[in-house]
Amino acid sequence: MFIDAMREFRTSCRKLDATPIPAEVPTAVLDDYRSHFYPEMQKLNLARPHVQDYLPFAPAALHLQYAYIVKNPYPPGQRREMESAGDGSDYSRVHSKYHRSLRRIVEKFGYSDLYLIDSRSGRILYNVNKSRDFGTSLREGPYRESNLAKVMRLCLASGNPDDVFFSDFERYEASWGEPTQWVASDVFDGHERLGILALQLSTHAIDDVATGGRGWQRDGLGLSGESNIFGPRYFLRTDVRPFLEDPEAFLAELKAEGAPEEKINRIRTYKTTILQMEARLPSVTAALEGKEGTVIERSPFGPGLSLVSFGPLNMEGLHWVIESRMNLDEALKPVSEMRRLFSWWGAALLLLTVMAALLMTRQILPPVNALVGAARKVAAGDLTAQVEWKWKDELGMLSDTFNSMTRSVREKTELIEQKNAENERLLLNILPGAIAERLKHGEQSIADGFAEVTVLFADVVGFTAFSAQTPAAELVSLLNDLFSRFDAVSQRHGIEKIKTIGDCYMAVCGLPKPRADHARAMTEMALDMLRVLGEFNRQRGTNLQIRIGLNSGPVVAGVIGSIKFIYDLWGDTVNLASRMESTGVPGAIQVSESVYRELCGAYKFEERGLIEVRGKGKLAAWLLREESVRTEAPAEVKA
Amino acid sequence: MKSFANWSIRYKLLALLLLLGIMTFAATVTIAYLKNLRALKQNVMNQLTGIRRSKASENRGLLSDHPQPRFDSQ
Repeated sequence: MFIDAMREFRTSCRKLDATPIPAEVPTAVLDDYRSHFYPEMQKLNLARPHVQDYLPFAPAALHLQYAYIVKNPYPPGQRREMESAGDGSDYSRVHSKYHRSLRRIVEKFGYSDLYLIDSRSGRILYNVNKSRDFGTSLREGPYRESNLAKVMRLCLASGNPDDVFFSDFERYEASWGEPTQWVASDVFDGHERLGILALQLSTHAIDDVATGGRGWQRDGLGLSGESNIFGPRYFLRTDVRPFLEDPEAFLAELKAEGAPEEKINRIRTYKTTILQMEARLPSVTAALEGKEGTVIERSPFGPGLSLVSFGPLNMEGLHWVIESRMNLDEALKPVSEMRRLFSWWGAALLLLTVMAALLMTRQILPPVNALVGAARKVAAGDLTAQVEWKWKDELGMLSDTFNSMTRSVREKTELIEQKNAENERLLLNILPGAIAERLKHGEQSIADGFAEVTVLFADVVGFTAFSAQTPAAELVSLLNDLFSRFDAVSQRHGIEKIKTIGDCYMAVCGLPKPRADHARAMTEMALDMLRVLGEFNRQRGTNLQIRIGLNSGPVVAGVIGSIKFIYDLWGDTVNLASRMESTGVPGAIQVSESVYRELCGAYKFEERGLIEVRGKGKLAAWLLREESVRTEAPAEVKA
Repeated sequence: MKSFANWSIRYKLLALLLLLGIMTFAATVTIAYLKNLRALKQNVMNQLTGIRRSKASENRGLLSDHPQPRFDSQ
């Protein structure tokens, strides 16, 4: 079909060239350019200096533009509806023969236009839309510098019918500067080159690819992403997403950003941003240099930053750049969500960590605190303190051990106390309480002088002979019984027993605590001892007798030695008391002068006169009459 | 302020547990965060690159599979 059409259109055009031009035709064509085409170009700021610069000058071109443009009853965008000019020309016959089929091809394959170009003259023999280049020559006519003319020259230079050439987008003045892209190929009939078939590609095709049929979200570009193609001079080869989604809002924003009015008019007129907007971005520059990569840069068609993947797009002799970009915030939304997730989980886990730490501390510390509390109680003397901890861990074992330890300490302490009490009792048997206390408090040597005490000596008469007749055990038992009774008497009278020496019993009154009635108290004790002895003899069936001697005066009392020590008395008073006993009368109480003088008013005494005392010479002595006792028994003695 | 040696065992134990917990937690979170961040960014970039390459391929197909040469047979 193309071969036939090409032949017939070319032949019919030649016939038109030979047809005289009616006088009104040039004028009508000029007027049409002046009234319709040129003002539009001026409005778009694309107009050449003179309207004549656009005018066709070949006769056929004038004929064709007059018949199919000036006289076309349809508005410019619908001129393809006209199938024949009805002027009776051969061209109109050929046109009516092929126009419907060629138009259908355009519509079926989605092209914007279809051109048949004579390869010899470069004349546009036919196009579907009847644009202003109709009938003009691409070699010599007004559009000889257009991208269509360039692609035609590529075809002519190739001469290979299998080659297909593409032009880049350029403003095509014949279509009011609309961005156009061409694909062209030679039409051969065998080896005869007839012409060139050129197709104007629709911007919708490339837009559909770039936008995925406006399915940006489906393509994974979200709410802000888009893919764009840029040419070598940074101008867009696709429509931008904001424009496709809301053209008026986009244009309003452009205007607000200070874009030139003619630029806005062109976008509005052509309904595309192709070739109308440029983006001098580092990513485009890098891709034009053949680099591929990802970068974050400002958004050329919207606010904020974009994450951009860029790379060169080289195809069919075109050196373009393709980019896919998304608003950075949206692109990194998963990162933001992850940050938020980490923040929440982080805070929650941190809280859990703190709570777990507190919980573990609370779990571990109570037995420790209980141990500390119990140890403090033990330190304060409470040996009953126990730690109740049922766990069988190390702390439980420590608690058990502590409890065992306190039990052991308590038992040992009780034992020690018991022993101490026994020792105390033994010590008090040996020493007066006050002296024992002083020794316990660390006094090493005790020797106290007492100005006035009364010393008593009592001796069993004939003990040596008695002991010779009596078994030792019985003798000791008997003596123990007697002296124990004397001890009871001394305790009753508050008198300190000093010691026993064999069968001799020694006691003192008036120390270690001084008392004024020492002589009287000692006299009462001596009398009681005689009575106790009488009772002893009756109970035991014995006939023992004792001599008792009393003397008052100063003594020195103290403890000497470091082992087996006793509390003892020293001084002349002690010696004289002993002499009073040894020179006394069995069953009687012999007293010295000092005692007599103290008690002569209270007791009855029998004077013995002077008696020989070893080491003292002759001294006066008196015997206390027992029957005279208790005439004036002093109350303090009883107490 | 008391030195650590004079802290009660309660606070020592608490501090130790917190220190261990927080350090472990911080290390784990940091590693996980960085790895996830890198993976997510890489994923986003890969996604964009994939889209771009897909579009480039479609564009090449759009032009190379042009039906024009077959018009001869019609």
